Amino acid sequence: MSQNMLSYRKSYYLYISLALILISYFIYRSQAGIEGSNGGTPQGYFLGTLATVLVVWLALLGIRKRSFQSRLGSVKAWVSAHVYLGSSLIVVASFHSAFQLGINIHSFAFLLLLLVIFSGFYGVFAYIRYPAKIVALSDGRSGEESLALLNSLKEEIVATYKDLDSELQMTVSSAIERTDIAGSILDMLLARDGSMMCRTVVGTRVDVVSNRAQQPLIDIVAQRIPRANRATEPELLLSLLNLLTRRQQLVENLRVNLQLKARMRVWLFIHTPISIALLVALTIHIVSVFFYW
Amino acid sequence: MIFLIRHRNTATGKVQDVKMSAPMIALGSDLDQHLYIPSPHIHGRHALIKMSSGKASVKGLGWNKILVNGQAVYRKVLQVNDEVKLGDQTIKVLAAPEGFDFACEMTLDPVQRTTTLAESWQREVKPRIWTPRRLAYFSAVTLFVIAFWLPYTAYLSGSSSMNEQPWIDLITAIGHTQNQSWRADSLWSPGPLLAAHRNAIGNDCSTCHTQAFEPVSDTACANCHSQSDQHFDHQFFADSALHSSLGESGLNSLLTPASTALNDMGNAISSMPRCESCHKEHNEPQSIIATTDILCTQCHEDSISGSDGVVTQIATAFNELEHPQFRYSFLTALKDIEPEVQSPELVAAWRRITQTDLSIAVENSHLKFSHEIHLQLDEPALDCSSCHILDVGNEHFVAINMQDHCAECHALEFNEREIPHGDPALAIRSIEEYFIALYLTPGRVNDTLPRRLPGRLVRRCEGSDYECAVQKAEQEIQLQFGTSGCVTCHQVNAVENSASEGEAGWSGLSQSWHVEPVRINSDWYSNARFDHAAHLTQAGQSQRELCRGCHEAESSSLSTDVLIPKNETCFGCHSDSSENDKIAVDCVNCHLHHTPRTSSAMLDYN
Repeated sequence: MSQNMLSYRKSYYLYISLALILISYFIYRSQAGIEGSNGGTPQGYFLGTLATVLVVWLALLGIRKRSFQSRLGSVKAWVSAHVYLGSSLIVVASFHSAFQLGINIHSFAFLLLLLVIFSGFYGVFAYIRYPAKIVALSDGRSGEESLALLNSLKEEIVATYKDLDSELQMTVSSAIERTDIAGSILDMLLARDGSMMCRTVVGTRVDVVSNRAQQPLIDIVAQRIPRANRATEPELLLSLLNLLTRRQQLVENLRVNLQLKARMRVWLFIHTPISIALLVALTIHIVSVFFYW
Repeated sequence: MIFLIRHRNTATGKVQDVKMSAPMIALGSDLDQHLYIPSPHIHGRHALIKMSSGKASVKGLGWNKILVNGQAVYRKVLQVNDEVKLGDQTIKVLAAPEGFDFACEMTLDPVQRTTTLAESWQREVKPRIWTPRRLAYFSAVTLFVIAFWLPYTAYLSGSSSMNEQPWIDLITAIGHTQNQSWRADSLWSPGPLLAAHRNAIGNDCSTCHTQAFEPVSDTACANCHSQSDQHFDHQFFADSALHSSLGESGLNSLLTPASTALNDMGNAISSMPRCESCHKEHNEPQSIIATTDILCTQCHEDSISGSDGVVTQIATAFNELEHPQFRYSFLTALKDIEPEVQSPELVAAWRRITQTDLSIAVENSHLKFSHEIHLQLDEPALDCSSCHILDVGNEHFVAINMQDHCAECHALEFNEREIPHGDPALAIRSIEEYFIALYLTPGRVNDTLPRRLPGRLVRRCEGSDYECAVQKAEQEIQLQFGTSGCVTCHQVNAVENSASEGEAGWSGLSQSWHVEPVRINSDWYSNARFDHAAHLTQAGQSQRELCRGCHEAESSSLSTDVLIPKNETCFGCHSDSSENDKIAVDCVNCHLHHTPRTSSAMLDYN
């Protein structure tokens, strides 16, 4: 069984993190001075320093990932430690704050920290769960191979419908042309299908209508089969239906594939910028505490 | 509007006509457009073709320009054979056939249409504007401005020294706008300000934080608290130097009266703690008064010899093992412990002393009194509260006095005449006056002769009326002071060699008896505090039962008995923790903070 970031070295860094949490707990509980539990006690300062060092070290993963010549441990080890030690920060930082929150930069830094960590949790989930799903969806094909298959299906469809009536030709060709697998970023994330097609609505008048999941098109073709005029038409329609159904499945797989890839990436749009914001907030937190000592 | 769109496949040359009906023709890269143009350079809704007065015209949406016959325009009336170019797509205007309002021809490039899906497949979550890097820069800069720069300007606007800098005018102008209800530097506040401070100084952090990167100075505290009572024994702690563990530098302005302390600031005692060492702000739960035991026990884990010679014993917690025995605080007549004092003022003075051995503690109030007898009476039935009325503050009781607490039952009378209480000389004169008046009143002497008893002679006074009156008064005074009156409750001594003549022609009897002044101790633990009211609330018990729980008055027959409870009584219910169903108490629940031990505090003049 291959190791992922959680099971790396038998979850070695999980135990490091648990030990860190335990030590932090005892340090937190040892606060019995006149202030009680507080970020300003010696223990509070120690926990704050520990949390700061952890935050800075966690942020360094971005540099380590790009330093291919680095000998400071493998990237796998860094990522595993990043996940576990980053998770322990929830506890360490909470103990540092002594659960005293308010509307100020200090609590805001804590909020940013939580956002970074929880967005990271989603990242861990995505990186562990989605690759296997993507492989299962692609059915052993690469993306390019899937596209090539899609293109060959299109050619087959065109070859099939050229002997059908022009109205159906127009509908099918417009549906193929207006097939969507990735619209906006939100469409990608939600696997939202904006596919459209031109369809005769009244008489000879044509309108642009939805072709979500390609099902309306398939329905039109299917409804045409009983009304076929010529002897060869049913066979052509059945053949077309078969091709459109295969295409429907392939398009859907591509769309979900793109959705999973987008989900694997989108969390970084929160994780990375907020990590930088956190570093700034953390600096302001430290400076302001000693500025107004 | 009915329009015809002719699709011409450039690869096969095949033509396909599509008839549509809509108020106008929409052109763009969105899939729902009438003329779908799959190009990254074309907006989703890029342009419109609509009919007006029988003429078709094209119009770019928003800031989009359209190339018509090679000319970039926002709007243009279309003529037959005009070519409209959108991205790589060319739309040629045709003559509208019969029944159509408008007709055009689009060329379809199959290769281009095929690459559309391939482009979609390559698409990633990659915003054009808000890339992660830009988001990071934006959030960092925004945060810096809001959470650092604005608070810093607020600090500068509040700092008088900085206001003198001309370059700071612009910044202070911004800062002043924040002066009213909210200031940006409140974002730096690590916790809520105590309500009293918030009401006094509002949001002006610089009131206390006068210097950046320096702890709040004692001077800043003293600026407002110059009139605060001193609550810290300066001399004691300066000598013991034990509080060095609390702070590193600075003289606590409240060690001495603040105004003096400010003058002495230059002579700071390095071992003294600062105000902030004990009084923590911006903390939760909000409390400027530190109540935790550690503040006391970190000094009192060793016995402490104060400058006044008093040794404070080790106290690290409130339980049988870690708290020393209570020590009574007695009022004792100064002449009883220092017989050599001569000054009339000092002879009359009482001193408060500490009794360390409670087992031998006796009270010497110069009063004779039995709680036992009084509490056994049936008529009137007396209770503790018959005499002991809780005073304001719920700690002590209203002082016992003759008039309010004794006179109702113990009237000082003879021959239906009241003897004044509290001044022995006045009482003697009152008796003497009575008999002189009686004897010198014509025709009334015989009335006062005692009735002769059978077998006994009536002894008559042989002297003058005045001498007889004095003689009679002396007998009555002897009776009142030496046998059955004052001496019942007071320590009374006959004065030997008293003057034969008193003031202003009085006989001198007024100086013949001395009644020891009475001082009942009302504050047995003068450095402690106690709330009687809080301890008199137990359900199901009468008041006498509640009092008896701590004070063994019913078995006390002597006024020398000390009925004040000792450690054990308190330990029955209280401890330093709430374990074993005990009620937890902090040091400061019972102890006053160290108060200055001045001569005036130690001597309690009569």
